[in-house]
Amino acid sequence: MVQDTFLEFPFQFAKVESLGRLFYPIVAVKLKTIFGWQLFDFLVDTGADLTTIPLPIAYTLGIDIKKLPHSQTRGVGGILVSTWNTTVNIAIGKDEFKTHISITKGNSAPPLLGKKDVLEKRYSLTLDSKRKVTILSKNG
Amino acid sequence: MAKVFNLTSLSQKFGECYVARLKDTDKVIAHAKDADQLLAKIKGREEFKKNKLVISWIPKYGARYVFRISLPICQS
Repeated sequence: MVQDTFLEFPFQFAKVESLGRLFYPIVAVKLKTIFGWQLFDFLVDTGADLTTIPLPIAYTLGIDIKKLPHSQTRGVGGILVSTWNTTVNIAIGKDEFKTHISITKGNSAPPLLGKKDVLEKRYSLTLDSKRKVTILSKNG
Repeated sequence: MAKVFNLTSLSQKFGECYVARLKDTDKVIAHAKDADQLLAKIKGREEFKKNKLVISWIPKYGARYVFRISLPICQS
């Protein structure tokens, strides 16, 4: 990480069947858990309308889903996923802000950093495949 | 090139899961199927209290993933 307005996060990678080495753009995001602020790796997903966390992480944030409006969200192939929508405070570097999030039932998806409040307005995203870093620049 | 983090050995060893690793050295100190189980495991550790850990999702070994979450479009 260089400055608050220009943050760099090294790619992560894993071997994937028939594709070989595949890089993941990951950004470290702080979430306010019931144990205090903790750092979580989020997969950058420009296909996600909202920043998304699986239900077990929502439990660690002290979110009571029974109090939230339940909705259904479309995943890949049009599959409907049960979700609960709310807003939480997150921090990227030293930049703390409120963002809309979607909580997905189950544990099949990792935390996803989506468009609303993050990639659509607050930050510009660069995937530097040459240097193998994800760059978030805060918009002025 | 930046120092990239290789998830392959972790996904081979643990499968799809969450791990807690030290921010500075990437050493994995705990793993669990769910993030809430992981936090319950590590909440007493000194590194956790001092905010020296990062919680990461580990993909299933060899698996391909596509994630796309979209909200219903409102019609007015």
